[in-house]
Amino acid sequence: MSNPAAPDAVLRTEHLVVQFGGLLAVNDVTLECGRGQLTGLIGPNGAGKTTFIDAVTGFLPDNASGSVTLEGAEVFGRSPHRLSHDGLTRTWQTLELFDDITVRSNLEIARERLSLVGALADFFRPRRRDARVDEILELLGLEDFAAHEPRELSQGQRKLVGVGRALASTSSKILLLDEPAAGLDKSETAWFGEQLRGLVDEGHTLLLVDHDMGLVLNVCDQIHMLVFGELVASGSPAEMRSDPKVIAAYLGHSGGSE
Amino acid sequence: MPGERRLRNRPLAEQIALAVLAVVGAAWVVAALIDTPVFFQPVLFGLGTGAIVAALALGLVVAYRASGVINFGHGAIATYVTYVYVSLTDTGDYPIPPLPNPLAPIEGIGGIELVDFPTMVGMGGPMHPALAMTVALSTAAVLGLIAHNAIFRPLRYAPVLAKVVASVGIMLFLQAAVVLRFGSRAKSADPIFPNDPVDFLGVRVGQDRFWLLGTVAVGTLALWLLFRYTRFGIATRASAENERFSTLLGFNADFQAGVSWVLASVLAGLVGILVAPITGVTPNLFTVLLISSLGAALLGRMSSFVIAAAAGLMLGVLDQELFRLEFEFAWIPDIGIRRALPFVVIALAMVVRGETLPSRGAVQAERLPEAYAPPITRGRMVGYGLLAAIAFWVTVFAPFQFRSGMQNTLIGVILALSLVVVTGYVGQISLMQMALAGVAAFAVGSFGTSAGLPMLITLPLAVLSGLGFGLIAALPSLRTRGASLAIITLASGLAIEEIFFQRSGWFGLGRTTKVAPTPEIGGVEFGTTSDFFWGDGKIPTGAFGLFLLVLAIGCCVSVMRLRRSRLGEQMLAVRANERAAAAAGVNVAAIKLSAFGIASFFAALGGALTAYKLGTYAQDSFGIFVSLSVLAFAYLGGISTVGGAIMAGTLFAEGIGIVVTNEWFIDVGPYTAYVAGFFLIATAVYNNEGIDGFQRRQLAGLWNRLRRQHKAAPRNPPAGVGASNE
Amino acid sequence: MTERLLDISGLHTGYDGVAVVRDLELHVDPGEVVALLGPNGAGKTTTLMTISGLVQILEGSVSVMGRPVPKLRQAQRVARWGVTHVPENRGVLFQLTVRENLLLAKTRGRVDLDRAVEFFPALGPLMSRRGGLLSGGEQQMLALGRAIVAEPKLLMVDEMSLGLAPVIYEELMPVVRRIADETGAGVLLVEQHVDLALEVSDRGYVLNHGDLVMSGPAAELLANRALLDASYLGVESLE
Repeated sequence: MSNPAAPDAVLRTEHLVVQFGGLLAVNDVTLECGRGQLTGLIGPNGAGKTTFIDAVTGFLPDNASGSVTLEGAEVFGRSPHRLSHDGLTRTWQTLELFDDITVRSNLEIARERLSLVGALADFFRPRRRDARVDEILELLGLEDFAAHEPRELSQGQRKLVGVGRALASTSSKILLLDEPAAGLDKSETAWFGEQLRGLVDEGHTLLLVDHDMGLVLNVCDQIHMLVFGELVASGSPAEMRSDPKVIAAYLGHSGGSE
Repeated sequence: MPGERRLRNRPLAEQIALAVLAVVGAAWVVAALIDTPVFFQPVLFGLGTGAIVAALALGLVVAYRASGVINFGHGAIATYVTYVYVSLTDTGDYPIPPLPNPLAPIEGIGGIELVDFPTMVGMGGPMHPALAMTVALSTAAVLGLIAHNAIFRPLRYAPVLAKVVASVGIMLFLQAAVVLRFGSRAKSADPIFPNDPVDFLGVRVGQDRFWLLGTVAVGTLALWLLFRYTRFGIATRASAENERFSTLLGFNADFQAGVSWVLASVLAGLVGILVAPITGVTPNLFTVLLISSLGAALLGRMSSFVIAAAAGLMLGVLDQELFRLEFEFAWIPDIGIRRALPFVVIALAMVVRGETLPSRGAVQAERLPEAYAPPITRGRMVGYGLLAAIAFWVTVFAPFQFRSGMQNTLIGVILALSLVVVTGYVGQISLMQMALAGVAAFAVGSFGTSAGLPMLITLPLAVLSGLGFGLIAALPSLRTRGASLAIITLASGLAIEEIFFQRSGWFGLGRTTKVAPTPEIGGVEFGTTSDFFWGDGKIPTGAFGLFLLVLAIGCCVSVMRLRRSRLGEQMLAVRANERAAAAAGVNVAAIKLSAFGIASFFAALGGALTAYKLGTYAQDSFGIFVSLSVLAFAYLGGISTVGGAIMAGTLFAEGIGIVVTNEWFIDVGPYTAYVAGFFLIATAVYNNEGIDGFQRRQLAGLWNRLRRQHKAAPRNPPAGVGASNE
Repeated sequence: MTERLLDISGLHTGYDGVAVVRDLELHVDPGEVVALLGPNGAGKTTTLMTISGLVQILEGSVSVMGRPVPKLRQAQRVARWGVTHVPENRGVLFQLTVRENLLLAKTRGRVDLDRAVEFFPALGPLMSRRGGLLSGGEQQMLALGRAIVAEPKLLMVDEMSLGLAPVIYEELMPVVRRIADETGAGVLLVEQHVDLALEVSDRGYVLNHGDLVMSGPAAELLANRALLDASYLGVESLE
């Protein structure tokens, strides 16, 4: 397990606020994702987790304010495709794979910024195989499915394609995973968790948003909890497991377990 | 946050636009007070047209609120019902829509003569208007029921593209039915409203206008009350916001949609019947007016009856007012600003309000047609080679009528490819492709004949002109999508047509016919009449056909390469999901623009080649209805594959497929639009991948079955049959 | 014998042919409040949607007052039989006013708006305000108020506490009990908050990852606290 004592932050949000009309969906959230770590973001339904990801990845330009830094550089306000090229990539709760193109193409789609010349050149020269894409496919155990279309795969494998697509982006520095385990059964979830852990051991930095406490507590290095848009608790899995605020938010009683 | 809906205040741009409108309105009122009759005459005349536009807009809003469909066939429904009414009051004949005779293909073989289906059923002499109206409106109700049950209910979860295409199919089908039964001459009927002229503010006008206006006002009020206060209306609004919630409350969105379709159709029919005595009807009158109505309905966000009706009236008045101004003040250039009014209104509505059409809180959409990229195998290459060889033979050696059909097909393939790229690959519906083709065609006349430039300069210049127009017209596509985009491209097409094709003089390109020079490169002529050393020497010779064949093959190969290139894959990603594509690093705006650019290129190329082929041509080859039928054939063939485009070209107006049918089987000529409309609807509802996808799946099913039979003893009987269809 | 309001047996249900809930046995009788518990993603909402006919049954049976749940396209029938389902996001129509929302409680016949105000006096002055402009608590009151005036035989409430501050849902929860006691309706309550739900319930079922892991009288479940918590936190056992 690679778990450096004092990791530097890959992603850092400061005073991030998202407002929809009168509703504060994300309220002044400041948090960090350390390099080479799996950071978890938990919270009850409607706590603002997905909104947080949407804001960080540039999908809520009209509603978000605050600061987002990626390896120290301010990136708040950039467009989603720009952020993706900068290395801030995400997956979707509802997957949103590109069903008409092969798994390999799903991963290759944004490997490099497409220029006019590049697009024209594509017509004349054969496509080069992208070695990095092969690596990622192998890493995720998808190498046998590269030529298939996503809909031919199992639900768990499709989730991995989503992860792979985000990883394959030009120079993924951090990967934000939005409820990747939703819809998976118990054993699939456990297997999926192992795959995530494998990615971290390879040196990737991940932010995992999920409400499956089992998954989050088992695989994350550091966990933050949002309730009503506010960051109410942070800590290691062990600390969170016994934190009365966490138990209150999930079980509705505040005494902790007897 | 998924569930949260943003309740925004009016954006600043909208406030500014409203303020400007208010100032203009106030100035106009002041002017009107100073010189009343002169100012009111156009208003009163305009209110007549305005009332029709408003009434059609009401029907559009009804259908949209209950089913989320923008019905491009709404005007055609009005037309059809009006003709039924006119026929009933005129002669008492009820028209039977043209039906296919299943035995038609064997007619004439062995001397069999079939009894023709009757075209009309006599109802015993001219009918009383009230009775005729009842029968005609019942017909409208039945049309509404069919539209809902057979077309839009099955398409409930279908992508917007399928719905737009189906409603375009309704338009083509009904309009063709009218032309087949009644011809394209204008018809009129006895007045329903008293039409004695009255003096009003010093202007003398027929009082029927006021009756019409009153009817529209009453209708607007009634609809407003219906949707505001009845449980049916409230529940319909609930279903539009969230169908799931209204189902949980026990309401049946399907039933509401059915009722609303009937209501909308009856409204359409009523408009037509009331208007027929005042203005007379022609087969495409209401469809042309519908474009203004779409603008009015859009201003009301497809949900406000009052705003839609008011906007419709205003459009009518503005049209007449601009007409007067153009007439009165010579310095206003005659560039048809007036004609482009719907476009201006729609563009304003779109740009100022942005993407604010209330979308139905519905469930996931079904898949778009598959953009199948055939694997490159040796067998397939041999197949392509064979196809090209046959095409070559037909182009050069076949009898002249086949050669001519082949030329139409080759141009049709190029035009269809433009839609494969923009609509098939990127999912953006464009209804203006023929207008772009027209720009290029007229440029061929201007640069080639008037300026006398050689073809090597003329052709690229012409294509560039079309491309430029296409890119400008594509800018709104960055802000809109789906049906809104279809409307704005339709309006753009109309604006280009009205401003540039129907004018002469300063900016005008059309009105009179244009002449294209004989195509020639380096002294070698290869026009349709040029001598050619192969073939029988009759016109058209194979020379121009060969040129077309080379270009068409080049275009097909390019689009196939595009599909497999990174650009093509990014296009498909944008089509699948714009947000996800952006998150994966795709520059969505750039991809959309490049798709529109490529599509405009093909459309313009097709247009320029049409000009060279026809030699002498006028604007009617490039009107909006031609644009719509290009979309129809492209979708019918298969909107998302090159094979589909080839199929589309084959079926294209006077294409090789039609020529072969005419020569060897039956003369389908006059029925082309009718049959195309029918199959377009059927394709949208039952098989969104068109003929290309259908035959591909059938062949795949057959292949699998054969292989299975070959491999093992007959075990599971009719497998593969179910698998061939989704 | 008296017919069960809701009888589910051997139910497998889910989306695209993939079961999210497996082999569920559950019933609700008139006048009782039954809690359906479990962590997020356990399949509770899917179960309710299946009862309402909005999710296709894969296997097994669901019968409401003796009648099998109809096909997807006829789902609105379930509501007409007297089943009122307050969905997770409350089912408040944002574009409609409070009064219009309440009017939709029944598909035909008179709607007694006063009864809703009787339960929730706060709704009184809000009648002509649009649903989208209400606070979360007001929306939940509107949803429950609409359920009350619908005079249901079976009431299903999904995640009432979702997105609400504790002061608000602690007030709303007892209303559910009151409906069951006063009208004899059966109530099926889906909750994440165990204590809250069991406090007002007669019986409870606990789902985890689509499987029924515990069921029994509310008191019994509360007594088995440790096991209950474990199923939520996804830990095999708590030391």
